[in-house]
Amino acid sequence: MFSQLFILNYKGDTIIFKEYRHDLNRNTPDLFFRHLLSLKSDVEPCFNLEGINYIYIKKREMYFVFTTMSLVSPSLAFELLNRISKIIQDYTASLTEEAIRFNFTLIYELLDEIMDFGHPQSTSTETLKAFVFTPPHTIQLNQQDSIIDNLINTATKKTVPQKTAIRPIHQPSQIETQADSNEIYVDLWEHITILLASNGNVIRNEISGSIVMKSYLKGNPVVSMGFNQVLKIGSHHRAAGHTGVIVDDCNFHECAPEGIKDETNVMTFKPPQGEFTLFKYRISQSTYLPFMVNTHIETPSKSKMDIVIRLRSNFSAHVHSNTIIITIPLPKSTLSCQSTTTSALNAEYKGNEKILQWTIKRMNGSAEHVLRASLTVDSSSSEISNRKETGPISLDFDIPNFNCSNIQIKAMTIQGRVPPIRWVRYITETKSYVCRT
Amino acid sequence: MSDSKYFQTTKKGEIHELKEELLSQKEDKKKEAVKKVIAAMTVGKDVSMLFTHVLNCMQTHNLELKKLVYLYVMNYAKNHPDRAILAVNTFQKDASDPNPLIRALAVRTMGCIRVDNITEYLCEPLRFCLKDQDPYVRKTAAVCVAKLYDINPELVENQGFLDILNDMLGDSNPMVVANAVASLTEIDEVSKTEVFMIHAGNLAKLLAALNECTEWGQVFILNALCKYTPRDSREAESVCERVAPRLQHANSAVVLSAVKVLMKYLNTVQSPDFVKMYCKKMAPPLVTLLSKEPEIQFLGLRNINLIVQKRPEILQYEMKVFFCKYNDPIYVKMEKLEIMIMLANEKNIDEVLLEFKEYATEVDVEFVRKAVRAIGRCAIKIERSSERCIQVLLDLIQTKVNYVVQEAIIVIKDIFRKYPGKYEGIIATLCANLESLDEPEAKASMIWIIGEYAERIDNAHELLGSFLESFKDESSQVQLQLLTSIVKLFLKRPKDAQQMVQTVLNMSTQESDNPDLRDRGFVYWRLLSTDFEAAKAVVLSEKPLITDTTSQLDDLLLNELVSNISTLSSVYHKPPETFVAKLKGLNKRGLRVKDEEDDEEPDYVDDDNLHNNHGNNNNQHGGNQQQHHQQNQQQQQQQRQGSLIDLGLGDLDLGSPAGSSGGFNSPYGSGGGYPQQQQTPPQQQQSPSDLSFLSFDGQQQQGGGPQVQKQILIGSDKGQGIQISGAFARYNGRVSLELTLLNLSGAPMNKFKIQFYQNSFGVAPVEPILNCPAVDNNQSVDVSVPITSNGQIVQPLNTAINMAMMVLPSQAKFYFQMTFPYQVLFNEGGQLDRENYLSMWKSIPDQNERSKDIQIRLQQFDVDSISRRLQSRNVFEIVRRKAQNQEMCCYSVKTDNSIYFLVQLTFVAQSRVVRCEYKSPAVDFMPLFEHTIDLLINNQI
Repeated sequence: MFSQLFILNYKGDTIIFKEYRHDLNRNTPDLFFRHLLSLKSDVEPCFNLEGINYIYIKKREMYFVFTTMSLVSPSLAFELLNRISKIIQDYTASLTEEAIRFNFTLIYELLDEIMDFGHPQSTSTETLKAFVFTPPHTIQLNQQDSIIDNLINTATKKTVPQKTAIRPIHQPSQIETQADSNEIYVDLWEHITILLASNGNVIRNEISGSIVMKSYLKGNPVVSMGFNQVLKIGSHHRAAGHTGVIVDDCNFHECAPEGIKDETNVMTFKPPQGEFTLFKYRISQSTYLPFMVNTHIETPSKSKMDIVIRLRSNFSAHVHSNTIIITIPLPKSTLSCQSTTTSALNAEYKGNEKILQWTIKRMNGSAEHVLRASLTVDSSSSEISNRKETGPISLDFDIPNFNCSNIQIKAMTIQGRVPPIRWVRYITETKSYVCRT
Repeated sequence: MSDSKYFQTTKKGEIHELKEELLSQKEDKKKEAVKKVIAAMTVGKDVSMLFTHVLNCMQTHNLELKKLVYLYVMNYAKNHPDRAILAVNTFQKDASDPNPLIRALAVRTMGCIRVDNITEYLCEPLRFCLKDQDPYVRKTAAVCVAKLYDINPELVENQGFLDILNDMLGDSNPMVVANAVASLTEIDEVSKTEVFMIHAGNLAKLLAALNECTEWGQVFILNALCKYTPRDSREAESVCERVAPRLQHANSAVVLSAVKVLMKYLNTVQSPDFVKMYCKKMAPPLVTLLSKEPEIQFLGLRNINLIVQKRPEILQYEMKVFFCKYNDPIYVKMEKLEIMIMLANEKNIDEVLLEFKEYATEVDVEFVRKAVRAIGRCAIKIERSSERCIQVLLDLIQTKVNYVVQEAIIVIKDIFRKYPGKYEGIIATLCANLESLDEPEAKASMIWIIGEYAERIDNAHELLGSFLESFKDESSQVQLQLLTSIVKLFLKRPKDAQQMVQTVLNMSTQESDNPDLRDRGFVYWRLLSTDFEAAKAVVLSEKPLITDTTSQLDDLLLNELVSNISTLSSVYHKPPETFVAKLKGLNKRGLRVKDEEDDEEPDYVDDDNLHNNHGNNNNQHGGNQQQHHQQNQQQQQQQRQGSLIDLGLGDLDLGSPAGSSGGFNSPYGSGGGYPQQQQTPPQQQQSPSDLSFLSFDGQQQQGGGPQVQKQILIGSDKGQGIQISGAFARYNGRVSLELTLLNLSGAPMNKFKIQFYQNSFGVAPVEPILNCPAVDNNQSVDVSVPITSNGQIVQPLNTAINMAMMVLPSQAKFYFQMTFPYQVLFNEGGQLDRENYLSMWKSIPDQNERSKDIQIRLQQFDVDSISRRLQSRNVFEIVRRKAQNQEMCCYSVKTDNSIYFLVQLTFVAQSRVVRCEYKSPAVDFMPLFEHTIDLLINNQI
């Protein structure tokens, strides 16, 4: 199994180095980092150098790396690395180099319990608590930027978690935690992937959703969560003409092995402390588009090109979208670009990358914005290739308090004398909303 | 200097301070000090001098402090074994502490101290802890057995820990079961004996634990289930039913391991409906992997690649999920493209082509190239789509983007090969883009197209001429292609190219250092100077059709990789032992499959199908003149092209070459660059006309078993210190090449590859990569290479087989030749009954009958003993008849490739001559057979 685990910062300095099997040299972090630097493009996430396999993930500008000599399952490695980073975050309240350095004895202790001789042992915060004694050393949140985006692992988020949600789960010293810590945070995230053909046809419209919870509940109460819709699992229901939400595939956290009960739409589980993903689902044939994009390209003369982009939001007027970034690749032969918009900010032309970037700070539902750009292109270039090189237009946005699938948490009851504080949010965001031109 | 001095004093001061603190009476202070020590340790400072001081802090009831001390001890015990002994007492005491946490901690830490003389102290506490009442202690102890095995395997075996571990599979706590499985699996991987057997008994236990243990434990158990082969379909079905719910797990490692189990067990399931249902169940979880982090997507895709090859039905309707997102990392995009090509079929091709076309206008050059190639590969794969693919490619050429055009031309060349005579209309468009080509492969492809269709391109000679001007600066790929194309042009339009062909032949043969080019030049030169028509037949022959096999793995490798789904092996697409050093070698697992990474040894791999096909053409249409020449070239060529070598058995005229017929100067006449011309190469002495080449050394085979006398093939002087001897043998119906490798090179070796060039018998090793147990210096090892005879048969007959071998890890390569003893192909099932014998004898035409008088050279003999000897070599007696003073016996022989020989031997009393009459449908092999029978009768093989 795994021989070593190390955490490096973006400069390649070792922050944590844990040997599990003592069968490799200690210079592996150097070898690893050198290899990373030697390759310009994306390095495949696992590779073999001189017989040593390196498996790594990058999080918050830190590299979490396993080394091994044996035939391991790399998916296990990735899951475990992700889990370790989550545990560190749960225990130290934030996943930063600083927090790790301050809490290194705690982290070594955790790593000792998480893995033994390179075999993963237990990764649930609940079990770990019983074996870990070092108290966490919380660092002051001086700059929110450095710590903020820790609810979902991916990079820049505009919707941020409540500040109160950032604190360690675990205070081993027997101090009774304050009353306000009886809380539970629920986020229903939907990542959508949309691909539109140039004629407006939908090629792909997928939702991958997850319910992420962060629990600070006292004791281990049973929670039941009711949904507004009947969830049908399996794409064959679609053919059967079933109404309600049809989910292609879904999976549940260990604490909810039974999933959602069919007749009641209720899910019952005992949440562990800390952050975890309760429920994940995938819908491959969604029919809803939050934004409509119309593109019109004209070439009045050989050296001119006009682009008109019309963006209409297709959700309720009560909801608004956070910053929308619209990226329009322009032909390589573009010489200059003038643009006007109906939104507050004008689009920015990046000459080096030949990209036009249109940022809308905030957009309400049922609204419309238009961008007009007129380009001067090299007149020797061909019209066809200019048209080909324009686009595809990609959108990057997130919409709080809104989700595309219309799955909603109708009720959440928590057993216990004192009703805990419950926070529920919905967020829709996209990493890939592309309209071809 | 001053700096380092300063640094040292500080360090000394710091260490001193720490020592003081460690000696403090207050636990808090001690704790802080130990923390500082560990902090120093983490950043790589050497704090080993504090070992004793830290050790003193171990006697404490404060768990936090204790854990810190243990952490330190673990790290440094290896360097200070003498001092580590001091800790043993405390460890032993802690191992029987009332607190289970401390017991577990002690056992865990002791296992991590990799000091040999601690291990004996570990055994007793470990034994107790394995039976501890607390599951936390038991599961820690289970892992500890694996730790101990790593240090001292004999000790673990002698102490019976392995049996205890096996018993633990039935433990009430699933976590303990999981760890026992993990430990056993690990030990099993390195152990020489089978220590972890799954049988019906513990299978049930594992399945029971599967539902309850942690996700990581589930992965261990699922992987272990793959070791078991179900007894029947019913059992396989029930395991599938138990495993299938794991597909819904959120952890991708569990999902992939479950897929691996299902893929394996479905092989045993007989009900097609059941298989279909489970294939359907696997699809959504696999697709879900693609909505996870990019790393997991990548793994998922690499595994899906294998699954699609093995069971294409699983994902046949899921094309859309493999469409690339613009922000996917490049490694994910590349894998998606590959799978899109695999899934493309007549129904979805339109959609797929649209996607590819989009990708071809993206920014990333590497990705764009692959997308263009993908279009070409679809055209080759799906005939109906070729028209549209060509159209898309032409559109892309219009963009004039340099690398797109080049890539398009490369694939169009392949499309021409696949659909000859269909799309030549577009050649003009291609020729218009000549000047934008600057990459060798694209150039070579364009040159091939011009040569191939020289009769349709009016200015072909001008185009080729323009390339010829820079001939010397071109890469060898382009040079070779240019040479061939100019020869083609000359054969088609002699008038236009006479000057050019002379120039290119001169340059190739006299001004080039590249042996490939020189040799090809000579081949053409001889060919053209001997017989123009024959040259035409050879060079302009019809080419075999190509298929898209770029991504196809061969079945053996695929099966092996499928059985390794979810492991690193499935990500690298390499069999495990090619990158994992410590796996068991040949002993338990047998021989291994071929490595797909052909580019490791470019020397004998034909990676360029363009050139390869020319070789084949020559070969198939080879007239006598050509063989003649190639015989001469054999020595140089044998390292390169299998197909050119095996043409040894023709009528040879080793005299001076025929005079010039096309107005050429023979390269021989000029006394130019052909060094081997005067001295006859050794192979030529095996002149086939008198069959003396068949004289085996008479020591190839003795007895029935594979105990054969081996001849030395490569001496240690030539083999870079590795002496190889070997012989072919037949044993229990299997043909094998018995090799002995003697390693005198000074470096260990642990693997080799062997390759046979195409030969007259169609024999080839079953698996070209072989593991042999690691051979240290001065040791030797015997390896048996199974041989199959299903390969391509090359005419005309030559008994010599050329082989190439590469030894790993040194990558030393050797080439050698072995004479193939025909009788090893004689099949055990060759016995015919009388009727069949008679009817077959009649059915074979009389011109296929030969007869020969064989001289018996044995001291003493009788018919019985000869017949027995023949029988032992699979020459079966059908009937024997005595008449007057002669005895007639009939025999039948069948070879592995189903050629029958029917033989009648007539022995005359008091005579040392046997009359041998025989018939066979395969005339080519008759002289060889005759010779073999002679040797068999005379007991010389």
